[in-house]
This record gives sequence, structure tokens and C-alpha cells, in this order.
Amino acid sequence: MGLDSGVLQDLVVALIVFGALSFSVWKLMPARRRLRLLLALDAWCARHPSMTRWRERWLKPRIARAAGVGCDGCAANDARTPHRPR
Amino acid sequence: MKSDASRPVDGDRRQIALAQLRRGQVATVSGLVESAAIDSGRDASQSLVTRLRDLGFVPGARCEVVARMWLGGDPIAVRIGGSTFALRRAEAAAVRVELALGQARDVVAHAGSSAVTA
Amino acid sequence: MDATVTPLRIALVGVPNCGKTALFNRLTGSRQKVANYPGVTVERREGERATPDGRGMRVLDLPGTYSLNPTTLDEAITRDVLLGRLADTPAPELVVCVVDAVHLPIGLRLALEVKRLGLPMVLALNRMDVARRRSVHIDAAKLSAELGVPVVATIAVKRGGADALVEVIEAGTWIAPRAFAPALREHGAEDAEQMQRDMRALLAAAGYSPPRENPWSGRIDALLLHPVAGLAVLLTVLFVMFQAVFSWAEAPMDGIERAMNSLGGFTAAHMPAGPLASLLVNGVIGGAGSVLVFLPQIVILFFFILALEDSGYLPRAAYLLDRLMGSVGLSGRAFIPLLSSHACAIPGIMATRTIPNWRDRLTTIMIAPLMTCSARLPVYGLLIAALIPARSVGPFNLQGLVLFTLYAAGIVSALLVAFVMKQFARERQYSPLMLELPDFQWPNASNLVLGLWERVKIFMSRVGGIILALMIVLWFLSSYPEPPPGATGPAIQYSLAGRIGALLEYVFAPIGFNWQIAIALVPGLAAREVAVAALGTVYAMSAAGDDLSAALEPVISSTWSLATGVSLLAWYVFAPQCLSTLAVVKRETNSWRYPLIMAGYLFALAYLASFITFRVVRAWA
Repeated sequence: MGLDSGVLQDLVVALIVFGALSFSVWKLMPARRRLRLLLALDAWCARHPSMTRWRERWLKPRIARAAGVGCDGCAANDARTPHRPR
Repeated sequence: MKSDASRPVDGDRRQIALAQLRRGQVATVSGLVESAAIDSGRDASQSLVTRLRDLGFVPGARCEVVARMWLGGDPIAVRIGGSTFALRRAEAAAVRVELALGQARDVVAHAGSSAVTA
Repeated sequence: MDATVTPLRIALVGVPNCGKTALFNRLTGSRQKVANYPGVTVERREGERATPDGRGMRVLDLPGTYSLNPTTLDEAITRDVLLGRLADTPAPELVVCVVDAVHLPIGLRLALEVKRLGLPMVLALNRMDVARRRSVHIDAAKLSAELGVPVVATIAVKRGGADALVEVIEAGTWIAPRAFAPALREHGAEDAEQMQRDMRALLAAAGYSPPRENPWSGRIDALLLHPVAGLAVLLTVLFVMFQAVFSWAEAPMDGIERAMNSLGGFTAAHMPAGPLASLLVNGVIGGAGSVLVFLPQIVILFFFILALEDSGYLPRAAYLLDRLMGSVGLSGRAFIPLLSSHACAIPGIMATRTIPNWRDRLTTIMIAPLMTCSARLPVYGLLIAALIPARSVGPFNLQGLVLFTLYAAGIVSALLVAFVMKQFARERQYSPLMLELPDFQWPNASNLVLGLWERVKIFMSRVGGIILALMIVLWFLSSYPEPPPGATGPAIQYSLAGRIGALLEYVFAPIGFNWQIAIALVPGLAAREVAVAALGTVYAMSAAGDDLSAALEPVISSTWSLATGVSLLAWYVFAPQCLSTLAVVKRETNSWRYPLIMAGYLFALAYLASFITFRVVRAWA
């Protein structure tokens, strides 16, 4: 295969590292900012009807999860606690 | 209406605090009083009484002490209305009970709070 | 079918331990933990269910409450949702009041309170199977007639056990909504007395007979709640748990480790040398793989935690420890959030909503991270396996003993911190206990398996997600810039990560951390077990020559001093190496102040503990 080619290897590695970096930033971002990004993405998709199916199937559940409750091993929780504890 | 909790009210039946019962003793709840052992104001005392009532500590209910912790029974485990609850001594002091007949009548001497009838 | 009609909004209300969450799972099909005590069902849990008419229903599982006069935050949430006071949660269109048939009086009283709100209501009489076994007689039809709302029998834990309820809901025969009563006023003594009378009248009308007492549970409680024997049992249970975490896990861990090693060797042998091979072997396998090894220990730990939860034992432990907790100013109700924190501090911190007093709640939140959470287990496991010999001390295994000591250190330091915080408290507010000790039950095997499976999934997604990603990034930072030609020593020292590590080493040298540890602590801020992965990657890349598949443990065992290892252990007992925890504290306390204070005091304690431990062990060894 072409894996001997140094350039190809470098390219693959660069892609993987970039992906890992983006993923890390995404995961470590404060929950509210993540939600805002998702909502902005949603608004952008709304203007492009061709994206509707992807939006329904992938984006909306993610927004619901980000805005909803639950602990998936980390605080992805944005539960709007109504009041300061008394 | 005041009553001194350590004197018998009438003959055989004494009104004592739930906190004074020994393990295994059965009694009937006769009322709830605000316990001065909860020294953070009447509000806390009132809500305690309300909550106890909500849990089923009402006049006429039968209760049994299932367990007492050492050093004066803090907390105690009480079985009432089919459920078991853990109460601190100050909370149990708010519940007035009458010992059911037919039991040995030795109870823990009235230690701690003096109560004011609500 | 009108697509804009919103789903029917249903709320489940009930006293704690009535099986409400099990019913919720049955209705919505989601798999969530059914715990036997208050404090876990704190979150607003919402699920959906399709209906034949296409409208669908949205079910909200409200926190369990004994009364609509709240004493704790989560009870207040329940009341507020029912009154429609929460801006983002509209009042439900239908309230399903779940009542445990075995404990009818207490549930019925709450139902009467809910009925006074005037919302459409259906009563779900749950656990009718258990009730029948305990000779409880209830005439559901008469109860329904007297109460004025539909009464449906449910058995939440059985498949199809909620079918009757769903039928009633879909039929829509519950009372049509009418304007409900103005702001619920706190009911005073007269109202309460009246409700008690109403409740007793209802019970009489329904022909209620109280449940037959189970003689065994009385005898078991006599043992478990005994001041001396009870505590002995508690200590024994905890001890067995920690011993098991090591001894039962040994074989599977060896298996995983060997698999990782051979995978690394295979990859190295079959790939052309270059950055990609290094990425895969050092970053992926050496990094994420190092954490994967600890899966068996995590499974065993959670097996015990879930079994204890399900059985109803935990509130009894809270009863036994209440005096101890009270002496440091903690509420007895703090026990359960603190115990949850042994799995993960985050749900533990959220569970503090059951503590009525703000000062108590804050104290509990501040000490929750000191509880040894499951993410510390890979760190502890690695260091203990590498540095503590697998000897026996009498009947006990030394490694298990050390683990127990670490857990105990977390608890003892938490109690001390709570004690210190108590000294700063101005007013002495009374915090009630009033904890229900639910009936015993054998842990439900399918619940247990489901719970464990969820935990495994969570662990795997962490390893395959954030840990893997961070290791790839770390690999990158440890490989570039590349060493100049003719350089001696491992390449990593010339890389960006290596240089940062060398700088950090100045900070950490007094407590005995080498530069590899210093590097590992940085990504380790994201999550505690990341440090293990990071050490794996860093050491894999520091390996001289072609020794690409060296496992982490032997390297540590041969190159670290005992003092360094124990110092790192002491660091991990305290250090808040978990950004998510700090984020949750900020959310739960509505301010930046407390998470910052928490991070500050924990890092300070960590440094101090490491410093002392390092000096002492070094002098002594």
C-alpha cells in the first residue's frame, strides 16, 4: 500500500491529530457555549433546506441532549436550576 | 394548656416522648409538640412538626422502636404505619406517645429538652 | 393528524421509594437506574411515549416528595412544577400520582394534597403484587369512587405492568381540566388534621387492611441497626468490597494487559516505521489502552455499589453514621450524596439537593470531591500494583489494604474539612434527619446487569472518546518538534510536551514528581484517569530503542521510587483533577466563588499531603 510514502503518512497523522484536537476542544468546552454553537449551527441549517434531513436526524437530538438532563459520565448537564438553594 | 412531661398525666398512662422509648417498646402517638431541642427558632420547629405529621405521626398511630443508637438514642429507628423511619433524638422528642399496655414500663429518663405544648 | 399538536404533558408524583421511577421506565422504555432511596431521582427526568392517536405523551418524573410543603430543594422543584411556577417547565396536563399499595396511607395523603391543586389526576396503585402477598386488601373501585379520580393498579417491575395505566391515559376519561386553586397555601395544623381524617375515611371506604409484617426483615434490621453489630457489618461489607476489587479483577486485568501488549507488538511489527505507527502504538494503544486495563476493577466496584443501593441497605448505613456526621456538622442526609460521590462526584453533588439547609448543602458539596471516585481507581490501581508488593498481611491482601486506606483517607479528610467549615458557620441551623429506611429487597438481577452495562458503556465511551483524543494530542505534542540530529536521550524530551514538563518539574520537584508525571497531570485535569493514559503515552515514547510495547506497570515499578509513587497517591487523594466537577459546582451554587475556593483548597491540600508523604517515605525507606 502507499503507507510507505512518508507524505501519505504525514497527511493521515495530521488529519487524525486535527480530529482529536477538535474533539477535545468540543468536549472540554463549557456546556453553555456548546449549546450556543449547536443552536447557531441549527439556525444556519434552517436556511439550507438540503440539510434538513441531517439536521433532524443528527443535530436535533444532540441539541435536546445538550439542553436536557442526564449524566453521561461528565457534566453535559444544563438543567436550569430555578432558584438559589435556600 | 401546659403539662409537665415528667409527671404522670393520669394514673397508669403516662405521656412521654418517643425519644424515651426503649428498643422493642410499642406505643401509641398522642400528639406532637414543638421541641425546644431544635434551637433554631419556631419556624424550623413548626416545619418539623408538620413533616412528622405528614410522615404519619398522628394521634392514634401505633409505633414501635426498632433500634436505638448508643449514647442516648441518637438517632432511633421507628416503625410506624408500615414504614420505618430514622429520627434524631430532637425530632423524636417532638412526638408524644402513650405506652401500650402490657409492657414493662421502664423508659429512658427524660434527658435533654424541656418541651412546650403546642 | 395535526403535527403541531403538542404531546400530552404528564407528570409522575409520589413519595420516595414508591416505585415511581420504575413506572417511569416502564412507560417510556428508557433504561435508568432505579434506586431505593431519595437523592438519586433528583434530576427532572423526561421521557416520551408514542400513542395510537399520534399525539404522543411526554412524561416527567418529578423528585419524590412526602408533601407539597417542601423541606428540601428537590421537593420544592416538585411543588413548583405542579404549580407551573418554573418558567421552562409548563404545568403538566395530567398528574399521575403513584402510590405504593404496601404503604397506602402515606401515599394517599400526598394524593389528597395533589388533588387539592385541581389538576387532572389519575392514581396509579403500584406494587399490587407485593401488596397481595402481604395480605393488603384494597378495593380500587371503591377508592376511585370516593376519591373521584381513576385508580389503576400497576406493577412497574413487570413487563406489561403499566398497560392498564396507559389505557386509561389514552382513553382520556380523567377529569377535564378546570381552573385550579390559587397559590397553594402552606397547610396549617387544621388542614393537616382534616387531610388525615379524609385519608382515614378513604382507607375505610376502600376496605384497607394494613400489610402483614415480614418477620425476617425485623430480624435483619435488629442486626443491621444494632449500634455495635451494625457498624461491624458495615465495616465488613466495605472491606470485602475493596479486597474484591483487587482479587477478583486480577485475572481479567492480566488478560486485557496481555491483549494490549500483543496488539501493540503486532501493530509495530506490521506497519512501516514512521509517525503513524508511533501514533497508533504509543498514543492509542499505549495511552488509551493503559486505562482500558482497569475496566474489570470498575465493574466490580459498581457491582457492589449498585447491589447495595438496590437492596435498601444504604439508608441504614446512613442511620449508623448519622452521629459521626453530625459531630462534624453534616446532615445525616449528606451520607447518600457522599456515597454516590464514590462513583462520581458529579451526581453526588447534584444529589445534595435533598439537603434542606444551605450551609449543610454547601459543606457537603465542598467535600464531595474528596470521596474516592471511580476515576481515581485506575490511578490507584496502577500505582499500587507497580509499587506495593502483592503480599498477605495476616488474612488480608496488602494491596487491598492500601486501597482501603486510600478510601479511608478520603473520608477522614472530608470529615476534617467539614469540621473546619463548621467552625466558620455563624448560625447553628438545625438539619433534620427524618430518613425513611425502605423495606429490604433482594437486588434485582436485571436492574443490576443493566446498571453495570450502562457503567461499562460510559467507561468505554470515555476511553474511546475524550481519553483517546487527548492522548493523540499529547502524542503530537510529545513528538514535535523533533529532536535535532545527533541528540541523545528519548525524543520526547525535545518536544513541546517535554519542554513544558521540564519547566513544570521545578514546581513539582519538592514533592517528588518527575517530568513525566508533570506532563501527565496537565491533560489529567480533564479527568482523573487520563493521567494513567498520559503516563502510558509518555513512557511509551520515552522507551529507548524498539521497546515499543513495554507495558506501563513494570516501567513504573522499576524506575520510580516508593516515595514518588506514594506521593502521587497522596496527590490524587486531594487534587481536583476533574474540570467537570468544578463546572457542576459552579452550576449548583450559582457562582464562581465556590468552585474557585474548592480548586484552591484542594490543590493546596494535595501539595501539602504530597510534600509530607514524599519527605516522610523518603526518609524512612
